[in-house]
Amino acid sequence: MAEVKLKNITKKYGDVVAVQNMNLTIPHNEFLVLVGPSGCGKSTTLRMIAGLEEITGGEIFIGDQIVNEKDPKDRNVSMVFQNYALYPHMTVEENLGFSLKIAKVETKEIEKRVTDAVQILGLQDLKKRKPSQLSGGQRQRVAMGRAIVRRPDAFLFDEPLSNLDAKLRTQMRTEIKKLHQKLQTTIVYVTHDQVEAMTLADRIIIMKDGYIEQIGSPIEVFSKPTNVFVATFIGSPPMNIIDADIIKIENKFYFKIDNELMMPCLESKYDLIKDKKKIIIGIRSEDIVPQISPNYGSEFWNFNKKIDLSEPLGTETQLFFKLGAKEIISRMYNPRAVNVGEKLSFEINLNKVHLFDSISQKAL
Amino acid sequence: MNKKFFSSPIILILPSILAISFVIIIPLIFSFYTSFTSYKLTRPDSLFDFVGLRNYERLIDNAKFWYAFGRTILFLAIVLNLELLFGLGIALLINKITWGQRTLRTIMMFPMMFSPILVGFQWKYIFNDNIGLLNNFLYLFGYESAIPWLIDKYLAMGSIMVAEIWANTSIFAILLLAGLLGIPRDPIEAARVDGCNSWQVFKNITLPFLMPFVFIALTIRSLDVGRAYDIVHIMTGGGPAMRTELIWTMIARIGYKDANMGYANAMSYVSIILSIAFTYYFFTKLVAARRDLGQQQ
Repeated sequence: MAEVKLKNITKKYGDVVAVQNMNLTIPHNEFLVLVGPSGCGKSTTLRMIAGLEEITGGEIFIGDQIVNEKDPKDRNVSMVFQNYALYPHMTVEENLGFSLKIAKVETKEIEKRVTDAVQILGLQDLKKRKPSQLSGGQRQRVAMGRAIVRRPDAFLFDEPLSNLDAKLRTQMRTEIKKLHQKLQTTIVYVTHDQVEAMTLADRIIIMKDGYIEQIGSPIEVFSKPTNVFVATFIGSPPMNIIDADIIKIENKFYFKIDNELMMPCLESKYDLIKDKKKIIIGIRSEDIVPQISPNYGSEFWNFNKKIDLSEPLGTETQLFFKLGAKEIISRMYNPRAVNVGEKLSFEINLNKVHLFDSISQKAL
Repeated sequence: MNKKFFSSPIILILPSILAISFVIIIPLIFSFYTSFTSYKLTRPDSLFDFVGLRNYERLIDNAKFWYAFGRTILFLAIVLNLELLFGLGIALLINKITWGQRTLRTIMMFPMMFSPILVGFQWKYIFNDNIGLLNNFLYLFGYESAIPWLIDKYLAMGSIMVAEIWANTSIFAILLLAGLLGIPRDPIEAARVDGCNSWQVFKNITLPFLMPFVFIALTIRSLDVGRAYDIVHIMTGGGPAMRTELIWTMIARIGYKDANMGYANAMSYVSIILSIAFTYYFFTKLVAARRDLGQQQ
């Protein structure tokens, strides 16, 4: 039951900076997800909160106490590890009750809490088994159970689902979300999987090279990415990124993608781009769709392109073609067979186009 | 010729059968046979003097043999326990070191590089009551009466143990260090987050992970210490008044000095029971420890 606060947190390994000046407040009961490519410092941040990694600079608060100098055991946080980290010589029951035994909780109370955890996670039949006799999903559950019985101030999850197969991962994801609703505790969750991040988080932090790129709700980071990195990291398939020149014809601005195609710029955006020569355009694949009915109006732009490749997925078909120098993915929501080389007409809603500065890569 | 006998499986394992026969089975049968004869090394014809169980009857009544037998068990128990304790300590310390660990690991193994005979000689001169380093060192601190390290009936055994422990603790250390390096980091970190202090982590996580290595080391070393001969022979020669006689120094004395090979072989067969018992015990423990960790057996 506590707020976790990071103040100017820095972590260096020798000269290598893993986390740079991180500031963050995680209010009580929030489900916060740290996401980013490997090596971005997300796990390091989590391990610093747990106390498993020393802090090079800055302060970490759990509740209103600075915990910098505190051992992991005195921080009252639970952690779920990527490899489950179960104690192989103990049964499921003993694994669950271990932390309580160490804390010298009464035997009756231990039994009660273990029974509760076992019920929440559906481990009734496995109580007497050793970890080696469990499947991956069951081990994962025990690892979570071990965290639950502690009733900690905060839960820390370090890529807990990455060792499970796809189906189990989806299932466990739902269970973790339910668990959070039931337990009402602060959760800090590290993952490299943006789908996990989107589905679980109250708030997402996208990290890269030790820096926070963006903090926001899943919808925010998806619909208003602050830079090209976030735009391409969140969402699947990644946002299409196109380099274009800005040209002005008869007082109207256009984005020149190649010699044939010029995308008009909405008048409402003229102020943003009027002093620039180049621009980066970002369009999500669901915003470039094959044209179904003709549409009129200034916010739509149509063009014809030859299809290089199509990947039918059932509910949709992903179409690949070149726009300028870049390969573009488009989604066809009413799938039909598409031949390679077939020419299709596409439409783009210009309101859905993201614009980024060509040098700083920041959103305009 | 019987075609089946020379079928390819037989031919393929024939070399190993031959090798094992020459190296193990034939000597084993031969020595077992001699334990039923009055075979003396100096009289080869006595090899055919079959005496039945007389050698075994003699040794059962031989109190000196049983003293040596018991002394060997005591020697094993003390040496193995202390080596385990010291070896574990060294391994834990070296495991903590982040800088210069490899160098230290090499230095740690120096005692193993010397022949046990030379170790025996060295300690013999350290423990010598007149010219020994130890007594001279004590003299510097005002302890003027020379302590008869290798002559006193109790001290002599202890002195041999010290030499043995000095020479071989590093075997424990190196095996346990290998075990420590192989322990996954996650369960230890999990235990720290779960509220364990260093001692609790060691007791509840590190030690169970280390147990298989402890028992492997104990098995190897029990066989090793059980056949201790050279160091005793050099340091005390079994003296004073046979107070440091172990099984193998006794057997060697009877077999070679007294040339009473038949009798000595009978003793060897009895003392093998000891090695088998220790090995069996530690091996059972090893299997149990590994099963406990859910490892393959």
